[in-house]
Amino acid sequence: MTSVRLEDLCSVLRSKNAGPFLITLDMIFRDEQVYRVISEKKLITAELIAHMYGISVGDVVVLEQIDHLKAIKATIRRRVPSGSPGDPDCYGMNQEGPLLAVRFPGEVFAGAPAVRQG
Amino acid sequence: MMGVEPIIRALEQGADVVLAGRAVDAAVIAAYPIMRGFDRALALHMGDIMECGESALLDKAEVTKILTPNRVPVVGTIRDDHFTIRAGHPGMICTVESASAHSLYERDTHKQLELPGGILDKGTSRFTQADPRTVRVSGTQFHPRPFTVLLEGVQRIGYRTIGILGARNPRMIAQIDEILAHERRTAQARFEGVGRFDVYYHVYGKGAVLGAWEPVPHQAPHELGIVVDVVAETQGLARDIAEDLCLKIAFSRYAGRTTTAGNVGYLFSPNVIDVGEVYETTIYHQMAVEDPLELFDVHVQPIAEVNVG
Repeated sequence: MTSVRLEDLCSVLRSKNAGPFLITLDMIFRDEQVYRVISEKKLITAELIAHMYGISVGDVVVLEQIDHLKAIKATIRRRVPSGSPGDPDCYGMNQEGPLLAVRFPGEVFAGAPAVRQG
Repeated sequence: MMGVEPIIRALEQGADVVLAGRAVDAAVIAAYPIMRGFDRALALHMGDIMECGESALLDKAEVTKILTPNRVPVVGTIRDDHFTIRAGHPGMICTVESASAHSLYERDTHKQLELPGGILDKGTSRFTQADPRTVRVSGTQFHPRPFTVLLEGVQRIGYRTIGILGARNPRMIAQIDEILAHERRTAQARFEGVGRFDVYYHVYGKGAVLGAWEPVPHQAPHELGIVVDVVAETQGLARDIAEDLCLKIAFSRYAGRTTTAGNVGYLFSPNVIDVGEVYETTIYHQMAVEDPLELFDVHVQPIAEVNVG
């Protein structure tokens, strides 16, 4: 079965601190139709984010679909506050890694010609 | 973190240049239009989009490559019931997407922004393309609430010294977690009672960046970068422990070891670096204040004219 990587659907897939205790994950999609499929079928949920990061759903404090931007935003609690000893990423700029493993079955985008499958 | 009020106070007293302490990003731009009587919600939303300059724009002619980043101004124009954003360079444009996407940046939510004296609500904002280079924004709301100032505070918790080591020997790499844990335990025993300290390892090539969030199972890489990170109550103690620990790792007697002249590459000699004071966030709190100015002294002073050349 073919599958599609989240990363390949996004023009922006990034992480950044949102204050000292949160990291926010921005996913901006390239294609309107793809975004609509993902938002209408609710393919990206707080549960999915929690699963990918190995955290509890309660630690996903925001999950929003932003239609006019073709974007989904998730905000999660940091393991340690920004800059505290042991924090490997003071500004949270490289915490998108777990999202790179997100894949969707290709058939959900049937009819969205912009999606390359592989 | 101040809002618009202390900046307005300085402008009202005739300041040409305001040197402010930590301020809300949007307030730096919103202060002047609010002082002139424009709508608070629109002024703050305009400031919110403009505060990072060209990041609200789209580069159509590789302008940022030629000029280098952060050189292109963004021009905001406020009216009674809307504002517009346009690029300050003909090679760049402002689009609905580029102007509104900045609301995502470094915020937990795109819809609302908590500011001194209220919430900026962008949920009702309307973005339209006024012309190919200009975006028009209206409909933003500001919900006043009791005045607060975000209080951010840190506490010094010690001093840091680091050492940077490279591991290339496959037998060592296969056992690295046990080796590092063992040497941390022996350091804790050796320096017990001397002073308070903690040892952190950042093992690049083995989950250093994502830590517990790393989804990729660790396979043995052919090379590891190890940052030994010691935080202690004095700089001298941090340095002594880091030096000793790096040496112990370099000569750790792990199973199957053949590298009896040293197990790792030291990046530098001397092999440890004093990083200095270490701080931790201890306060992040919206503090209620009666008067928006009570925490901020505003002084206006003339600066002597300087003749150049």
